[in-house]
Amino acid sequence: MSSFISNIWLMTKKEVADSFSSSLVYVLTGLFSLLIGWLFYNYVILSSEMTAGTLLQSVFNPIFGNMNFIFLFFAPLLTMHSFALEKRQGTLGLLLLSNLSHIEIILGKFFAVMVTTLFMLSFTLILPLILAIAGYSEWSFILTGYLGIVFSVCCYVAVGIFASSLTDNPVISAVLSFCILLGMMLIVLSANASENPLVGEILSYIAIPFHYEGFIRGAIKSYSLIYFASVTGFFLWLSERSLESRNW
Amino acid sequence: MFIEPEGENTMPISTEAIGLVGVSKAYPGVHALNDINFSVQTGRVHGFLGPNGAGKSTTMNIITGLLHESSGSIRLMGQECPPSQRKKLIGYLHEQPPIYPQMIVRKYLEFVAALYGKKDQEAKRSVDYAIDACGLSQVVERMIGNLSKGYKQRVGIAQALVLGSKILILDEPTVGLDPVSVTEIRNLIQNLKGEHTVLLSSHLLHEISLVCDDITMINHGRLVATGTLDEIQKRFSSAERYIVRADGLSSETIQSLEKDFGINCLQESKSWVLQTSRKIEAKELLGFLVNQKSGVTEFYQDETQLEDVFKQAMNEGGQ
Repeated sequence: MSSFISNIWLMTKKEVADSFSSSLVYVLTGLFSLLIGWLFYNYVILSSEMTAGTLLQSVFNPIFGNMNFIFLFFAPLLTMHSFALEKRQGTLGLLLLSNLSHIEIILGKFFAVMVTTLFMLSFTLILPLILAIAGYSEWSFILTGYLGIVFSVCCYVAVGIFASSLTDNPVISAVLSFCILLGMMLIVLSANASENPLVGEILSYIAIPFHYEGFIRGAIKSYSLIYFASVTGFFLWLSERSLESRNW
Repeated sequence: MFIEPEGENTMPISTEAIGLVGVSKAYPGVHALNDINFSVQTGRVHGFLGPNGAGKSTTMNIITGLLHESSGSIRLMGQECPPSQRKKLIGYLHEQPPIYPQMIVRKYLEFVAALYGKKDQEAKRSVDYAIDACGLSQVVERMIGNLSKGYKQRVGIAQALVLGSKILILDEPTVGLDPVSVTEIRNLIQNLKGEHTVLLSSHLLHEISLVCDDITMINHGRLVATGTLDEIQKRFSSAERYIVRADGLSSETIQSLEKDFGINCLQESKSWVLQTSRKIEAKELLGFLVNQKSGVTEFYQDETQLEDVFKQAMNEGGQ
């Protein structure tokens, strides 16, 4: 077990060092912070004109929704190099011949992207702190909102890593993962259009927004946790199968 | 019976380092390898030749365990070894060296050591050995991406050595290098000989003839020939060539050579090239020329070039 964790740690450490030595992370972090900061400013100005509703409804709910939407674009960019670049550089063989199992390599890369994502998110913590100075105190909603974002991003990153394992071209990897994620978002439209209530329920459950919206409203549902865990696990398993198929 | 590595790459002592027994690899609709059998002797440099698409890289990937064979088996140090074990026993340099350009040379080699489960002193020893063996001490603190192509290739060989395996597989290690770097890498491989068993794939036949003790040739996924360099040259030499410089080679002697010995005589400036498809001992031919009072001042057998052997072997293998 300790070897399993230390192998994942070895891979994560190397990947995090690689990420932070590249300008991509800083460019994306800057852009993300700029977008969120600008949206936050606008929502705060708008909320001052509203008489009904709380700061949570008028500022944080849309901010978390937007964060989630932005990561739909950013996650494919953060994961596009995961395996595509290893293949292009010829270093995938080095990893596959090492003592690390496929799943250890995949989890190492997964956690490394999650560290990068948390780094990007950390800059947004200043927003609730600004409102705290003005007297805002509903911290539990902020916490569940961030949890919802982190769980959603786990799914996005797993999809991105899977797409990256299929090709040696980072651009194709990014486009492919974006298409899969967009499909998982837009499935909610089919759910709304469905005339059969049962099919509608099932399609809603498959769609990502159905689950993270609950978190944004402060509700942690066990079925949503199961959903996030199973989608993340499923795509990481597909990535493992994709690597394994190279042996044959 | 499978080899069970015990942390270190402990392998039983055997004269056969690598053995392929009836190895085949099939993809849907394609037979990439067909019944490949050859062995690489311990401590020797074994050349692996074949034209593009012959199946060299597939064979090497199978030996290292990156690919699984469809049938047949691989022996390492005389014992059958499954793919999962093979990859822990062989140092492999792919045609494109597996390097991370943004990493420092020493950090990279330490990372490779950690990938192979080496820790602390053991990792340091392996890394120091690889740096020393590959002559990287001057560039250990430099970023790999900034190194010359020759040094990058050395770093690639060093990563294969970090594993500490006695068996190394090098897939075209000199491809794309300048002549100075080619000589350096060639010397490096020569230095590894004895301590390590090296299976070396190359398109440079001259290089193979300089570095390798034995060679194996494949074509269209089939084994064409395997053996020592001399054996292969003898087997595929289609003609004996002798170069003769003689002052008094008369037309009668030439007629006699052509009629009695089946030798084709060609004059090239001051020398004569005597060529025959028959097996004629050098001393027999020289004795005849001396008896004829031909005034021989120079006489030697022209070795068949490996290029000719390769072409001949590929022709026979393709048929």
